[in-house]
Amino acid sequence: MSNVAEHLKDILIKFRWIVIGIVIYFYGILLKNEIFSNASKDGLMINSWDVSLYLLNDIYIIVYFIVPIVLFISATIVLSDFNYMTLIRLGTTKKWVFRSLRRFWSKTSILLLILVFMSFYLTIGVPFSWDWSQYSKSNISHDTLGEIGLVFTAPFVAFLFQLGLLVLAISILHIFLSLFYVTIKKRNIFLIMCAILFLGSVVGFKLFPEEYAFLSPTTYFTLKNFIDSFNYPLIGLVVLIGLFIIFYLYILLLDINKRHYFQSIKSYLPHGIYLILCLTGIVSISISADPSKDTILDVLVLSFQGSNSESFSYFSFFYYSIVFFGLTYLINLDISREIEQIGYYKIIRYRNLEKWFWSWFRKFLLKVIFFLLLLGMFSIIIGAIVGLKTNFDVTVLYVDWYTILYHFIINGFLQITFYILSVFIISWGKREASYGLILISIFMVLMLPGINQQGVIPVGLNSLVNLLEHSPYRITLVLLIANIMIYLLIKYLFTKSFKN
Amino acid sequence: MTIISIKDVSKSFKGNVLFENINLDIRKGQIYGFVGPNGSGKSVLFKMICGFIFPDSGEISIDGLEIGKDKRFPENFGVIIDRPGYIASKTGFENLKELAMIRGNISDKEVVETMEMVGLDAQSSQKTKNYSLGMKQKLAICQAIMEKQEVLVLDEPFNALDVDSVKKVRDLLLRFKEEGRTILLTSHNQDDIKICDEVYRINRSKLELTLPLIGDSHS
Repeated sequence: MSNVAEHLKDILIKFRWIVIGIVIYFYGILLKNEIFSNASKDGLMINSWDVSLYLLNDIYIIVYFIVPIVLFISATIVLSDFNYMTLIRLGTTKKWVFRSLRRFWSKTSILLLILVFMSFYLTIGVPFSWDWSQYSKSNISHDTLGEIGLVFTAPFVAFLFQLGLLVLAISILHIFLSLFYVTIKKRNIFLIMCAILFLGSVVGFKLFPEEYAFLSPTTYFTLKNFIDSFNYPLIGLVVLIGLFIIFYLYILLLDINKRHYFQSIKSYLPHGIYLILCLTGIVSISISADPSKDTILDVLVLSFQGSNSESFSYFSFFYYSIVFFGLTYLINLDISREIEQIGYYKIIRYRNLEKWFWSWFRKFLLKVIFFLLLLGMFSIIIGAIVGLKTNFDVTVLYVDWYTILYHFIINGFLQITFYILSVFIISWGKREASYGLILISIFMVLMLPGINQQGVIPVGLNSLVNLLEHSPYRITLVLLIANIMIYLLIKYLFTKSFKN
Repeated sequence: MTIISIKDVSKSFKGNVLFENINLDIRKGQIYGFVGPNGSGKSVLFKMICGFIFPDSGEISIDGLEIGKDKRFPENFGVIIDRPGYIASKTGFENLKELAMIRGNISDKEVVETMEMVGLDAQSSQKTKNYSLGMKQKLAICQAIMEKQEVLVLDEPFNALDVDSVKKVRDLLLRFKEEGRTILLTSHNQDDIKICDEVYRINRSKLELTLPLIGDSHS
């Protein structure tokens, strides 16, 4: 115990801490005099919290004094502690980050202690109260204390929040710097980042417009700036905690050889990009919809209206192409893989081409149904999120909701099945995925205005805009016939393959 | 018994291919030497074995656990890689104590004994910022061996040491080998390599086994 006391004494009496304490004290005196003079001018009462919170929320002492010291401590600890001798003993980089944070706080806590101590020390001779003072409630102090007083019922709560905020923000700053160094491992770039953070703090509170203030590090160091930027402190806290969670997730990934993960992510990249494009279309349509009259089903109709010979728009045409032909292309890649790489090994085990065909084709059919349901759900959910009417009316098309859903799901399913069977035939004949692309390009041409006037060519028939001219059941019939014909063609090709 | 297994490991660094599909099994209780010209990748190989960097392809396992998958840094390894950094304002003993406290499995007495073993004065109040290169190297050796690590990965351990100290450290390494500890080292000096059971030369991105030089006299 005596050792701990000795150690604490050693730390506290170090020259640098004394200098820091003196600087804060004299600056605090200036602030205290400012409050005294303002309050006495208007004959307002002040209390100890005015002095204390005023010092803790002074942006100049934070930006030009506290932030540089914090950055210095953080940089020194990161640079001196990140070495192979320490890492091999700790076992993981994750442990190093937390050890570094502990070491950082063993020094920074003294700085914080001095700041808090001075904020109390300066209140000597000032009346104490648990409530906000007349001064803090007045318009004079609206720049700092008034705004805090509007949000927090008691000054003590504001004080605790300010402390918690400083601890959280400073911790996140150090974690960020630790992770940055662990990632780049370059001393000079790391020091440049420290300089950027300092300059960002200086520039941030002076030049950033209010709507971008959340990007400035200083926003998170004082309660006053925090409230200015987020209106309500809880939102800001969510931002900070969100940042902490992101950093923590990154910490969890630090010790893993990401090569394996990048490889698996790479193989899902086309699917990921495809899904993002699908969602982007739905989101942009939802945002442009009118919440006063449009409904959630209108989002579905507008997103998947597609085009036909009479009704054509570039946006709808391209979005249809992305969603349905994009899906066909992705499935085409899988089909090519099935045929080129593993098909023969499987076929020899099934001993029957049709059995082999259905072994994987039924999985694709299930995926198509799931995909259509997902698209429908996304449209409705995103529509609801942006505040569109949640009834099942359709205002952009004079059709019932069940006709819409029937056409979207049933005819959508039949249409995609037709596309898949078509690209299968090409892949089976040519053994090359690029030929599938040529077929898809032909399908796109067939959807252009004036080509499919009778609606008998089984391409683009699942466009919701077709409901203006054709019955959904007629479209089902056309697609069923097309699918049966193409399936019979596949059977014929299989028979021919055996003969050959 | 294989303690370190390197399988089909390839590594490029800034566009240069350092290793291409190298394979190596390191057995327990042996001393392995790695030689090669400057920039051939000796330190990179050691860093990969210790998990400080990952190979571009292939895998490195320590006691059956793959680095970067099952484990990040191997346990019970003593390392000297690159120029070790010390807290300049502390003495050698204080620096070692700082490192020993991470695991907390050795006493101050053991730190002092290790320092004496390599010829450093544990009681000295000399700060490491005033250490000579040789003293810093001895301190590096101390931290690598003081916790009785099972595997020692020593990149140029004899650098900057005087003749007596080189002999002392060589004898120490041979003693460790007798105790069953595994040692991997690099050196430019043929005499240092003589204590190795197997010596590998890094040549054109491959590891080539050269004949052990034990018993060979060197003028």
